[in-house]
Amino acid sequence: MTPKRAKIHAAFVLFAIVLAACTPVRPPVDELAAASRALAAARDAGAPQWADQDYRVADEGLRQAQAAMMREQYDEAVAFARIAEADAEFAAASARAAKTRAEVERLQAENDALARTLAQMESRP
Amino acid sequence: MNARPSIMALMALLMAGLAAAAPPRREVTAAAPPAAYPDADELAARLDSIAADPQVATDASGAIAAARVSLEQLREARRADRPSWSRTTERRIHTVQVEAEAARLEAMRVELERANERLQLDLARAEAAHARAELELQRLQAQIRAEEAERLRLAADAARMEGEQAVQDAEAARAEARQAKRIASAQKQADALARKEAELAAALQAPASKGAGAQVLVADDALFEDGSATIVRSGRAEVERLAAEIAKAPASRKARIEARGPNRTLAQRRAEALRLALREAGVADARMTVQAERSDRERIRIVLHGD
Repeated sequence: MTPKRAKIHAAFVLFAIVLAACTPVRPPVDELAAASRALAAARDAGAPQWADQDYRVADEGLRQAQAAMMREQYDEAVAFARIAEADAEFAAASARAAKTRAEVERLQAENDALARTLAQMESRP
Repeated sequence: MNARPSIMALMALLMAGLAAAAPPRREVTAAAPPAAYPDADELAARLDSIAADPQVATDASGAIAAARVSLEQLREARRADRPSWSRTTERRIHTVQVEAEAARLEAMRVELERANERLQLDLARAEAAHARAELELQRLQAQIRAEEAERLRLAADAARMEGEQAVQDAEAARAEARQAKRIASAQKQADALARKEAELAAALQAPASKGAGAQVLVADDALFEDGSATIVRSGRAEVERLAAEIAKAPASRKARIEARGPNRTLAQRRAEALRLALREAGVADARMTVQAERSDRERIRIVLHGD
């Protein structure tokens, strides 16, 4: 092996190392799974019905994360997954708040009606 | 100068490798806008101000913890990862607000639920009271109706008794009327007897006062039964009496048997019957004549006259 050949070999090895350092090798499976779980939890909380807009944002985020994963653009996939998880948590909280608000409004109306009926009944001779 | 070209080649390759690795990172920054994302300090201030409310700190403690974790990640993140961590942290701060709102609404819901139960209970009580009052009213009305019915029943009884009394009274009146009729009839009979007696008395006195004048004998009404021309068995004595009276009179005197009644034929037959009876009692047939007349009153008499 001549010194020149050895140098060329060393250059290739270095190049391979640099290439490996620059590209994320690990597919962000855990991050996508976490986002997916958060979205399922939002679904269970009734987000598609009670916080439709917020749920769609999270869902779209997860889709983009998955698409990036398919393209093996793992950094992008991680970023999308991270945001999608937070969006899904937000959608779930929004759904809970909306549901509770609707229930509060229903109870208020019902209580008002009951109070009116009671007042009528008590004013009757 | 042997190594120089290879170093140059190595540098070129390195640059090429870096260029190949770069594009995904640019795409990430494009997905999360790089221009305006809040930095960690700004987000930390926002989160602190929200979590300063002790109610929020209690109600959304989980979401606050999650936001703080994101915030730490943002602080430690590589430059390229900061936009996504910023966006994530911001989202989690929003989630804190929504969680706090949801908790506030839940407290309201619980309170309203309690109020609802109280109202339902009050309403049920009011309805029960109303139902009781209604029942009492019904009971009173039923009692009034029962009393009214009883009153009507008593009135009907009274009316019925009055009716019976009226019937009895009518019966009594009818009985009285019958009695009165009987009395009247008896009176009539008595009058008839008195008249006959007067006639008899007159007849007895007649020969004394008038001498050869006509003598009248009045036969008893009871000689015949109603509608019959046969002398009754009990009439024998009367026939004997009349025969004796005729025998007492001078033999020159004739006896004219006069019968009157609404039915002239019956009167004629009665006169004939008495003539036969008197002949059997010993009065000479030649002395007797019969005469029948129509009259409203029934009467049989014997006139003893001179020729």
